[in-house]
Amino acid sequence: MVELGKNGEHGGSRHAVHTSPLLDQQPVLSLRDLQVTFRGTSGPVPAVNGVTLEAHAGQVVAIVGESGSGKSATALASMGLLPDSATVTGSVLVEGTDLNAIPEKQRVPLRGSSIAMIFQDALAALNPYRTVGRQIIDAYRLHHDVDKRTARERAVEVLDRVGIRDATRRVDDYPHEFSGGMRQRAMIAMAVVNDPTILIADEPTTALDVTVQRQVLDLLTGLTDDLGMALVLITHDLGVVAEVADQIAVMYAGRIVESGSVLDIFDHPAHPYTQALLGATPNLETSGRLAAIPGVPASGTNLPSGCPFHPRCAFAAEVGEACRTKRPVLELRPGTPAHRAACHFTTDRELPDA
Amino acid sequence: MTSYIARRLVVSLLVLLAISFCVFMLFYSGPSDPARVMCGKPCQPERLTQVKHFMGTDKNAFVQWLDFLKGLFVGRTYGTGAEAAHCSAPCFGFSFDQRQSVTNLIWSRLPVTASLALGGAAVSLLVGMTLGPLAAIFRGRWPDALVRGGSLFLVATPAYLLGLLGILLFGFQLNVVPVSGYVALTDSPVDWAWHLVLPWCVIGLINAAGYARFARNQMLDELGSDHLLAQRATGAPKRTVRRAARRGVWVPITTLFGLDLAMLLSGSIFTERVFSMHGIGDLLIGGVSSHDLGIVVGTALFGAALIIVGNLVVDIVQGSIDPRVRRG
Amino acid sequence: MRSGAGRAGAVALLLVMIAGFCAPLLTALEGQNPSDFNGDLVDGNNGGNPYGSFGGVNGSHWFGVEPGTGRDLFALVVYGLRTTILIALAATVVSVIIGTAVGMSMGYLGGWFETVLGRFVDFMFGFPTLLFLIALQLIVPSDIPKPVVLAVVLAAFGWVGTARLIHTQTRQLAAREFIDAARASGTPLRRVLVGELLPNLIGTLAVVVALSFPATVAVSAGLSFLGVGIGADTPDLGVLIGSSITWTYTGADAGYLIFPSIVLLLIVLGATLLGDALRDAFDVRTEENAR
Repeated sequence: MVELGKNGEHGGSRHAVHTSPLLDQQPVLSLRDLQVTFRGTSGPVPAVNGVTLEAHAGQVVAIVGESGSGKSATALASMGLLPDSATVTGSVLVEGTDLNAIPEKQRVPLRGSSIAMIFQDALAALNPYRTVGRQIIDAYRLHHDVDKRTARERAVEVLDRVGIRDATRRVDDYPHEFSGGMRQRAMIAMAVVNDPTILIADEPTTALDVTVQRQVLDLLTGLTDDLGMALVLITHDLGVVAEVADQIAVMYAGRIVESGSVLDIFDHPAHPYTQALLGATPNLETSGRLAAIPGVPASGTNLPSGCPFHPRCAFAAEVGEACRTKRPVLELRPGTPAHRAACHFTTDRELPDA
Repeated sequence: MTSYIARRLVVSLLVLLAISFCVFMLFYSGPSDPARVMCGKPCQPERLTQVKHFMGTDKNAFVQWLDFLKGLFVGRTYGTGAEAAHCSAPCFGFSFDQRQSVTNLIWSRLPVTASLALGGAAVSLLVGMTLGPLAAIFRGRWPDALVRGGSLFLVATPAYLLGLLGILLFGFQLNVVPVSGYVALTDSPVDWAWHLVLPWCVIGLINAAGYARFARNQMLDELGSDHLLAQRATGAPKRTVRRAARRGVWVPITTLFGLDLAMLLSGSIFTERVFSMHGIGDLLIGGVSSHDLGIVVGTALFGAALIIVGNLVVDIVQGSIDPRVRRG
Repeated sequence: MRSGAGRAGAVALLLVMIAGFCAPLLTALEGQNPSDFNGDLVDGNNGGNPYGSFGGVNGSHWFGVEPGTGRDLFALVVYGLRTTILIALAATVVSVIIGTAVGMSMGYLGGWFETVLGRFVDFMFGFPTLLFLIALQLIVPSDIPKPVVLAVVLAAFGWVGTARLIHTQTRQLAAREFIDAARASGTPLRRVLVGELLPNLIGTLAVVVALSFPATVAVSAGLSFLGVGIGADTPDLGVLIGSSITWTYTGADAGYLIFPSIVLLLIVLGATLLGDALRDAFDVRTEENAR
């Protein structure tokens, strides 16, 4: 905690300050009808089926879902980093430029400076053969025409900012000489060294133990405020989301099934899947019991007809035919500014409390 | 790093000691009596005793091993008086047939084998590390199929066959390179290289096959790794990322190189024979045909020492390119 | 396509093996045998080169004749093939059995036994085996038949690779539940090893046999090629290739090199293609495609 220094004041109270999205500004990241299809050995495998999402500067947008829901593919598509076996349609507007419409050559300079990314496993994401400093210096010099000394000073500065103690000395250490939490910080330093407008964090805390998780989250939200970037937080952990996110998008089988503010999602969840997820989130009140969602998550290769969630849905029987035949669309909930859900059952009624 | 090297050095020495012990127990307690061969036919019993004493084979194998170790470190003298033969340290034994110390014999043959093996190693690494990553980049397309097919063919083909077929094609049919003989580097560097072109290609290609396959799979792993994805996420262009990937392939390749040193040596032995070059392998085979136990044991142990020292060097090199090894 | 190559390899290997085992039959069909000297078929004034084209190939000498002696090359090749195959087969079978036993017991027993043997096996894996295979020829008693000597020394050094691979596989299997279950229910050690572990290693063993056989063929023929294996009086592919060197240098009789070489290549390539296909099919990781 002490290690965090000036970032310590951020944390649990965060979304009290940012409850309403900054609607007056243009979003820095805007995904429009994003579709990702992988070329599989037995035909195309859809991973993302029309995701539309916006993130504003200074805002934390969380994408929540189980593994296989398409959240990581969405992240990599936003970076333009999907392998050649993937086909991406729709648009990825980064500060107004559609990454998906420009050639790779023009995308390269935008990565790191406009849109950056951090990964789940920092040990894997840092090059084991290069010192941490060298990797940050290299990243900085890709976008800044400066000499090595200046870049090194910048690396130390950023390492210090992310909370690495004794950064002047540790800058020459190799990743394996860092502890898990420090590696995560070093990777964050490498991503933010060029002051990106958007930072995509793919499960940034999943691999860490609980105390370190907390520190890393505080660091990320602190950076979001200080640098005025948009943070896209990808996670399967609603506990993480509750503390830091402003906006939440819940994904299931490659689609957003519900989106809204933190209060919308946590206090008035409109989709049975969100409900089930919330039930599955351990918290102190429910004595940490995990309510597992029955059934197997739907995936690109075996997508159920109609509403992809219907085989696992507790309300499908009540609604009947429509769930199996008609795919519900994401609709604005009446009486809310931005709470949307895609569900036949709850289109115009409240769900019973979980 | 220093303690790491020191520990590896001690282990290597112990291993060498163990090997030499086993070899002496095996070779000098066997039924084949080197003195009887030296004594000639007919061999009078008193002459035999004399010869045995001169050669030191009248002692048991264990004492002979100790004598050998002594010779290695301080040198030794065989026999006494006018007939005495001195073998200075490091003494790898004595060939009574050729009245020369095995060390001298090995020394005179080493340039041949070293030229073959080192050149072959260079070719194999160069070819393997070029084609393997290339195949990975073109995964599933024709360059990949070509490299995979070619390396499978070369992995299977014995070095001597490839050498002989090479001679037949390039030496005789096309008549572009010399087919046999070795010219010392000090005599004429150009002739030296010219005579070694074909042997280098033979040893190089045979070994390159393994490296190419390994480097291909390693490169695929690297290209799919998170740290290259993370590097691209910082805005690094594809070329830079591929360069980093190739570097990532070098580290495990050195491990394989260490394991392949022995294969390099055996490749050289076959190649010496094919191209009529008189190297260490030729010395050893000559020793077997002339029943010269001194040469055979000395050469085999020298070869083993060479490989172990080579492995030590590979370990140190690996420690210097992979920061994670150094801690060990 | 990969399995197509594997199938082609299997067919080539099978054909050559059959030819080797049917050597007496085939030579009888040709009407020759490997021991008849035909001085009239070689040109004594021209270094003993065979008369006729491509080493004297004709209807009664399918591969021509051996330069110098005039012995029938086809008969020498098929008999030599038989020697080479038998030695390699015996050595492979023995070495795979030793290697499997060592590897399985290492992986299953664990502890210091695994540590010590593991070190030894790792060490032997990078050992200059060929040097010692050659050196050993000096001390083996001359009254033991050479093919037996070769098979024994090849097996004595050949088990290491198998042991390494089987060790890793056993360790993975031993961690699985059904082995624990068998152990917990008090099944005797031997029964667990043979009854539970071995059946699960069949795929790996198939790969090991298919890949170590061509390697053994190459080394066995290689020793004979170097002149320290089979004596020159027994027909053997390595001996034939070894004695063809002189004729190859001058290009005088290319057939003398090419016929035995093609047959040897067919064995090693056939088995390697088969082994490679099996490796893909059973998803076994060997040194080169490991890690």
